[in-house]
Amino acid sequence: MQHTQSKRRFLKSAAYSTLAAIGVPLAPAWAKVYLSAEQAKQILFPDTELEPVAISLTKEQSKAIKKASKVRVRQADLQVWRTPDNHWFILDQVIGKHENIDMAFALSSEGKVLGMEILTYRESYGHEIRWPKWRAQFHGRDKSEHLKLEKQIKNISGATLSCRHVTDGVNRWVHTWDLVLKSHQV
Amino acid sequence: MNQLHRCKPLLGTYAEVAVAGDYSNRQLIELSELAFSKIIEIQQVMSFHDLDSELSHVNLNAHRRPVQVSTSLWCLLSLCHELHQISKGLFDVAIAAALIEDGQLPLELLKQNDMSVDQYGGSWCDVELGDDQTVFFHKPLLLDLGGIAKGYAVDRAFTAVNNECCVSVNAGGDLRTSRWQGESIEVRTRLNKTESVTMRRAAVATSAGYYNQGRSAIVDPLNKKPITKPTTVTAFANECVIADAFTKLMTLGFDDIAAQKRYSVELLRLP
Repeated sequence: MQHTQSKRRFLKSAAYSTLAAIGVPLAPAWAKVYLSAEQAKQILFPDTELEPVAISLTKEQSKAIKKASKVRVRQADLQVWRTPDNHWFILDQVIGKHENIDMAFALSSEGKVLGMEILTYRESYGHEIRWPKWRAQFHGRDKSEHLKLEKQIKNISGATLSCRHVTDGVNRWVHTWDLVLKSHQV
Repeated sequence: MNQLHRCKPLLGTYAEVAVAGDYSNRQLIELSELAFSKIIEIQQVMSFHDLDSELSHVNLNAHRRPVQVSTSLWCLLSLCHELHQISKGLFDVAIAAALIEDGQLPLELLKQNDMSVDQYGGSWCDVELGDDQTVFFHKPLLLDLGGIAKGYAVDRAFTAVNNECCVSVNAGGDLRTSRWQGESIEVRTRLNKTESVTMRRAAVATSAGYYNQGRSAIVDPLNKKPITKPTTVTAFANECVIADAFTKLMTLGFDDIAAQKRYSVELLRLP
């Protein structure tokens, strides 16, 4: 049991270290995992064969998407899969002032939004939390500290957080479809 | 026991549905889809931001002629009337014009009627609910159902599936859950903190202005200005719509114990 808990702590810590390594600007205060990518695929495209499509945006394409959507492109390498009917399953990350969200989008062969799911939601307290201090706390300590972190990811009630950044993400993807994905349809 | 926890951007915020039971993954997906469909339905009826919503149709036309409304909108407006009566006018959802002036709601609806915001001067006192499920405004006014519609959507999603499975629905902090006894929630407060609170009923809602530069979407009906009190108000009730309504009432200074008992509400004020 102790080994499992240590392993779980290590994996969580490794996951957050990876986020820091790829330049995620916000140190998460807490996170909630809803779905895996596989579960999202089953919900958005049940029993459908998905083919991965390797696309890396050029600088010109990123600029064009930014100009059309007014939203910055953060990652050139797209995580996209195409169905036999030319619909698209997309994995992406949306970064806002307070939150950092892993999402899955489904676009139709005409670039319309078929659905979306949040995979992981991380809420940040922004610059008030220093990364090293948070890491020290997390590696922390004993079982009670670990349980406190677990408790933090339970239900939260509070003032409504706007999902404007998710809306921005949708907007960016609709234009990405128009400028890039459309030309990869068979 | 299998479980599924999903989150989608709806109602202008994040709506979570968690379902659990002795079901397959596919069955849990279907149950969660049913719950989300109720939230989407209420959004389509009651969104101020959607010019095609039923609420927008009422806002645009009810000062010209009585407008027949759907059962769900009728139920919510009837509750608004009841709360307006018991709070002696403190609960007043005819505050959208004030929120537009404060920049918290968009202007688009005004352009449809070619009227300026100061022409919408009516209050809930000018709203007439007819016996035939019609709504008429004796003066131009704009309704914003905001948080109370969120609570109502949570209730509808919850009751759609709670006979089939354990369910928890949380839309931007308006929450209702099957297994609330002995559970606790984290309540956001100012200064980016949370406070752990034991659930006292199946539903909870919280109102505060800390995520909007201290500006609240709760309007004082006396001076038509958004209030600027910094506290966090949490309400527990059997239904989310009631919990949400009472967070607004308590924020506006309505702490009538008899009303709280009548609606089985418990209130909590945090920093």
